[in-house]
Parts: sequence; C-alpha cells; structure tokens
Amino acid sequence: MSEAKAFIDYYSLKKKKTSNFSLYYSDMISLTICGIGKINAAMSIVQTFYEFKQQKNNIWINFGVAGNKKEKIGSIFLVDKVIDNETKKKRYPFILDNCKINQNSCITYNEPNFNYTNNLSDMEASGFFFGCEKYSSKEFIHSIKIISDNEKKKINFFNKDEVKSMVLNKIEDIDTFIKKLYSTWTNYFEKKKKIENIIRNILIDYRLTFSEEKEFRRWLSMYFYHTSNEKINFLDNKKDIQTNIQNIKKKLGV
Amino acid sequence: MKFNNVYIEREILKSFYTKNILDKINYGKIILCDKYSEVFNPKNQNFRIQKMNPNIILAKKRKKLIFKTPEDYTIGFEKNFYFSHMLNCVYDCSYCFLQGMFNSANYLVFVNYEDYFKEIEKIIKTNTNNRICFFSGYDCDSLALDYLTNFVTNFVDFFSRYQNAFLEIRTKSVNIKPLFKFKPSKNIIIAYSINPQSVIEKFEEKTPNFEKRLNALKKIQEKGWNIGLRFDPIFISKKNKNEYLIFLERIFSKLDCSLIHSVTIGKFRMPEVFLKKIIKIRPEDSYNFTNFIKNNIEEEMMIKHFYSNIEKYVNKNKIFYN
Repeated sequence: MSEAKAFIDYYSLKKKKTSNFSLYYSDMISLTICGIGKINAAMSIVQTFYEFKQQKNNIWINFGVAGNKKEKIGSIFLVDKVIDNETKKKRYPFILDNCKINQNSCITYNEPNFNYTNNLSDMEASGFFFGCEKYSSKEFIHSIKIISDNEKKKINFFNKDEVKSMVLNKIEDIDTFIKKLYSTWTNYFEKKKKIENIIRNILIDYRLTFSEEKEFRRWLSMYFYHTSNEKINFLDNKKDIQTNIQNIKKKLGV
Repeated sequence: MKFNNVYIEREILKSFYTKNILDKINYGKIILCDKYSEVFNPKNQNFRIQKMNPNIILAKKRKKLIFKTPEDYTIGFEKNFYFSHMLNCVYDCSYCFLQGMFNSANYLVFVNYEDYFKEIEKIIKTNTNNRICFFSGYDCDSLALDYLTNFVTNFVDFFSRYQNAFLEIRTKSVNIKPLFKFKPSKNIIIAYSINPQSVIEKFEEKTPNFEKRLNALKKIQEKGWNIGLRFDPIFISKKNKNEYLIFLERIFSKLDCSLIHSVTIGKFRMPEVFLKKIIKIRPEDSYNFTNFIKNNIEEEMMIKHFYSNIEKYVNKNKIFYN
C-alpha cells in the first residue's frame, strides 16, 4: 500500500468501491493494490480487467518492491525476464527502444527470500505476467521493481513515509516510461479503437446473424481503413445486408 | 546494427558463431534463455509493434533443419529442399507471409551451421544420381544480414564441394560484397526478387530500389555467378501492364540473357490462417490483400502475356510459373 500512495497522489487517482481489491482510477489510469503473493497478483489482474470495461490490449504495469544482493536501496529496474521459482516457467517482456530504466531479471518466490542473488527477488511478478497475458500483448506488459532490501540493508516496511518518499524519488522516471509506452500504444491502437467504435455504433442499427455480422464488419473495417472517410450515407439498415455490402464494395471499387 | 537486447540460448553462448555475431553488433544486454521458443513463440505478441524495434535471438536449430519444397516448386532440378538459417527479415514488405507465420518480429539466427551441413550432406549422399537444389532465403533474406550471419562465407564454401547439389540464395539485398571473396561457383544461384519501382514503393518498404537490385544483378553476373530472376509475387494488372513490360525490357537490356540461370513467376498466395492474422495486425492493408487474392481471369491473362514477353529474351526451359 505504501508504494501505491505515491502513485495515487502523483496521478490524482480516486478510490473505486469494490469488494476484493483496493482500486484507484482516473480517466486514463487505474491502480490496483494486489497485496502480497503471485496468486493475489494474478487475481487482481482479473478483477481490474472486469472492473474497467474488459478492454483488451491495454498497458499493464506491475510496480513493487524487490530484493537484490548488491543494488542500492531505492534504485529501480525494468524486469526483462521473469522466472517463477516454483514452476520454473519464464516470461520475457519486450522492452521498447531507448528505455532509460536499467533492466534486470526477477525471480518470483512463494515466500520471502533472503538468499540474495544478482537477480531481483519478489513475490508477485510471475503471477502478474501470467495473468496479464490473457488480456494484452507482451509489448505492453511490464514490471518495474524498486530495491527495498539487499545483503546489507533493508528499509523499514512499516514506515509508510520512508517507502513513499523512496518511490517519489523515482516517479518521474517511471512516468516517462509510462508515457513512452502509451505513445507506442496510441500510434498502433488509436485508429483501430476509433474504427472499432464506429463499427460498433453502426451495427446497433442492424439485426444480423453471426456470419452476416462477421462479413459486414470485415467490409466496414476495410472501408474505414482504406478511405479514412467516416460518412456512411450509402448504408441503409432497411435494406438487406448483401445490398449494403455491395454498396461498400462499389465505394471501394472492388 | 543496434539491438536493445540479445537473447541467447544458454547452450550456444560460447559458440564461435555466437561470439562472432556479438562482436559485430551494439546491444544493451544479453538475456539468457533455455530455448528460443520461450521468447519467439508465445502467442500474445504483436508482430507489427516488435517490427519497429526488433531484438535478436541467437539459437540452435535442433529439429527439422531441412524441408522438402512443395511438389510442384522447381527451377529445373529433380529434387528440391529448403532451409532457414534465420527467421524474419530486415525488410518490411506488406505482403510478406512471415508476419502471418510468426508471432514475433525478432530476428532469430540459428548458429549451428555444422548441423545444417551434416543434414544437407546426408541428402546429397542419398541422391547422387539426381541434381538437387537447396533453397535459402524463404524465411529471411539470405544476404541482407550476411555481415552478421556469415551465411555466404559458410554455405558457398560448403556447396562448392559438391557437383550435383545447388544452392539458391534468394534476396532483395544489394549487399553483394561477401560473394566476391569467392571464385564464382557453378552450383550457386543468386536469385533476386524484383518488381517495378512503383510496386516496390507501394508494398516493399525498406528494400533497395529496382535500379539498385538490377545493378547488383549485373555486377554478380559480370563476375561469373549464376543469377536468377524471381517475379514472385507479381502484381500485374491491366493498369500497370505496360509498366511491367518496360520493366522487363530494362532488365533484359542490362543483363546477359543467355547466362540467366532461371526465371520464376509466382502470384501472391498465402495460407488463409496467415492472411487472417496479417489482416488483424495490419488492418490498414486489408483492402490491398483483398485485391491480391482476387483469382481472376484478367490477372491470369496478364501473367500469360508477361510470360510470353520473357520468352522473347530467355529460353522457355528456364522459365517457371510456380
């Protein structure tokens, strides 16, 4: 919770009332406090997905504390390999170009681990990755870890201000990373989402079978992508679907 | 060349080829994996987004190193095989089937060339009475990243030991220097995929232009190597028919037609599953794909016309419509 506080303040997030996990949100961002452990992490993904319109291919970022043998307390790392210590299953996030945050691999343990190695050690990352991969593409699923303990030192986890200030020190770097990721997301998905919405609104006025809808959707999509024209006055929901598809084909010159 | 991350299979970390590649690239970090499939195969990956900034994976190919080509695919040999020392390509052709076949756009380089040689040797030894051809450059461009892979150095040298086995090096790259370290070899065919410039501009992003490819072909031919012309895929229609004919004239006026090893023509074709996947990740091209797969009489007539024009320059026995 203490790690989350810094983000809640920084992004001015409001609390959402739910039964299981604490959720915070704004127009653009939501934050879920998953608690400790990979099962909680995975379950919080499912809860978040259903709480926020079940949108596929969103950006998902896990943020939390981790241990490491030598790294300085308060330094942050972008996870480039996640190993579940129990199952030995691995995941390899796709790191975007020019990422300013240092990378490291992370081993997720079932219990607190104090046998420090050069890998990060945490208790959530693998659950987070396995949960998110159902809902988004690998390029948009990431984990950022902040070092809370090493061989020589550890923070006082009960001192909320200490944890919060440690996160605040790095929040600009994390925000830059998020903005960069969002820009890549926007470049690829913005037009797609816009066209999907237009098509969804058109289909409301039609009563179609599954296969008719599939075909109509395909031609509408092709029309909007190819023409970049949102005018659809050549469509008529009183006419049969094949006539409408023929009209799209005519417009496309197919 | 710069990569954010290099993924390396633990088993080949100390291989000579791995070290060689690492010496030639700039990279952020080496990330070890057990099998390349852990990085390359997962389904929840977006080929288009990765294509903006691909990473490189160095791995060992363990199974299925050599494949038989489809029965009717030939450039005049009795038996035909293909293999891939690399998966994915530096170019970004919108019609490319790789984006439908693979989940990841990372470059995957197999560094265990010796294993390829053993498998190829086995096939050669069991086919001593047949002239056989091995095709490379179907799942990647054979020459484009040669400075990293050393494909030419290794495979040209290997094939030069055999009389009855031929190697086709398929490319769009004008990176031809590596060839010239060798004396021209009779059993190597350097085959260029070519299209008129307007088609290149429309569909073959990041590739060398037509004139550059033609110049490369001329140089290769002048040095004494076998060359092949691959009009595959061809996008001929009533609209651009004349452009294709002028394009042919340009090619055959520049090259020595009598020395061309083979010419192939192929329409755009793609398994439906690949096509569906590509339309999903590049919906902006769905209109083009609908036009590509139109199987109409007009296109057939255009291709026949194109074929008969090639016959004016090249012996019919050397032209293949696959």
